[in-house]
Amino acid sequence: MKSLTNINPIDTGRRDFIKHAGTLGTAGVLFSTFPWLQSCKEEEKMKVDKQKVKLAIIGTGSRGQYHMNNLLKMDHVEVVALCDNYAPNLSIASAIFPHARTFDDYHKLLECKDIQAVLIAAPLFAHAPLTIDALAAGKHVFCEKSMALTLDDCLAMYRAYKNSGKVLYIGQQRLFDTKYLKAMEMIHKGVLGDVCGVRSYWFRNNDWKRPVTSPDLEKQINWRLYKELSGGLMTELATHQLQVGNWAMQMIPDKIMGTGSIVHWKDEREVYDNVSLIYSYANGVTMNYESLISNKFNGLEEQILGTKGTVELEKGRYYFDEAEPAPGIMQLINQIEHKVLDDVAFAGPSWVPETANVNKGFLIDENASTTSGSSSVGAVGDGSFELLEAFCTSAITGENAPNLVEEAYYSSVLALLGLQAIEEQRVITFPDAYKIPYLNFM
Amino acid sequence: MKDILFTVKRQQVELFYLLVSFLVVCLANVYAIIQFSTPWSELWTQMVRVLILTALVYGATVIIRFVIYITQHYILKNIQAKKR
Repeated sequence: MKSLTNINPIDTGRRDFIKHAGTLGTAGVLFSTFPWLQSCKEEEKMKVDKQKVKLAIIGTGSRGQYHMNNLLKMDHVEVVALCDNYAPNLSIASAIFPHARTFDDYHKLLECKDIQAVLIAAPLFAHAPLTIDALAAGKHVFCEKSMALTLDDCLAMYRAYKNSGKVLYIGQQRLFDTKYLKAMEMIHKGVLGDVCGVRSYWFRNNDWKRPVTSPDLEKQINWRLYKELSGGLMTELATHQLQVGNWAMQMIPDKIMGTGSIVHWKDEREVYDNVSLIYSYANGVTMNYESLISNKFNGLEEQILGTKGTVELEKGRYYFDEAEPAPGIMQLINQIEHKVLDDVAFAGPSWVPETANVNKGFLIDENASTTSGSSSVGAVGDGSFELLEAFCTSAITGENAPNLVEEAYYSSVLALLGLQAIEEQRVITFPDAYKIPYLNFM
Repeated sequence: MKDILFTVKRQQVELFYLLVSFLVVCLANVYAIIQFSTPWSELWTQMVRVLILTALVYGATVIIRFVIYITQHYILKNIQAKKR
């Protein structure tokens, strides 16, 4: 596993950036630019040397099991308890950690004094009560994204975290993904010019349903499909990508509009199977978001559009608008050829249609993995391991990851405001009541 | 069939044309570097292209000279035939 502290410096001059694209700012710059990486510092790791945080896992479904497999590879954590009200998942988890105690009621788990931290990978509707109760019980908390199902719950979680003095991490793993860190440094240093647009999308072609053995289990297993339990595409997928857009913009959008519907999967589901939204920033830049689950041609992507170039973060590539010029001798031949062969003079560059050009671009990091987005559980090398490892370090030191919760809070709230804009079919202005002090909302 | 004689004088002439072709293409490269503001390193990085263009230009001189030779030969032949 590549350590985030072993990332080398880049020179962000255009030519040199290409040459040194496999590296990133020096550790000091890295930690001041991305303060949530504090726990990845070597000195922080030295502090926790040979210590283990006693961790409990609440929610042992697919994402919980994904984290468990990562936890098995970590030195400074001991999984001591598992909790789930769905017995089949609990027994799978118990097989992974046979020495961990098992619970079907999280209240009893939180009463255990030896448990220092909890990892919450339960369905969205349970995030807020679980997190708030765990913080109140004096536990450090790692909670999966999105933060909560309602705006009030998001704010309640944030306030509970601020008042508790405990560590809270939210599962926004892209904040720990090397290729994202490198790309953001490049964007913020202006290598691609001014950010003039953000385009994000997530396309799949599956019904998003899981088989159930009994109709009584439908909502427990397929909770993503019901509005009382989930925000559908917005809370399950969009939150990741909205966070990336804000990260690139270093700003929170103040206007939201959108539309959504059920186009293809007309079963008993209540959540939309396609959404299309516009998030507008105060400087006029917009973030366009689109997601549907009945066509996967485009896959998933976050595109940051600059006046000089573009970054595609999922593919881990960046592109300059203007390609490197051809050698002079070739340009001369080309010019002669045009003078000899062109019989009609062009009206000039504005006349020529700007069709998308073939531009293979450059890799942000040759070692970075990319994801197809086919799995909602997680991809290898997507920052999830580093995020969880940083949480375990923080849970031992008691030191929080600055700005991490704020990034997650705004991405969750923006997803919910997007849903509100769709439901109410109007342009939503970011409500003052849900602003927390961060970036342009300080 | 008869042997083709490639005299020393002919070799010197062809080498001269080849050298002139090379110099012309080199000058075109210098002009292009100035005209299109590309790096001076192209004087050697583009040497393969320069050599290919040299061969093309030399080939062009061969064709032109051959056409001139054939034309002159045909005209002379006609003049001599009329004199007879």
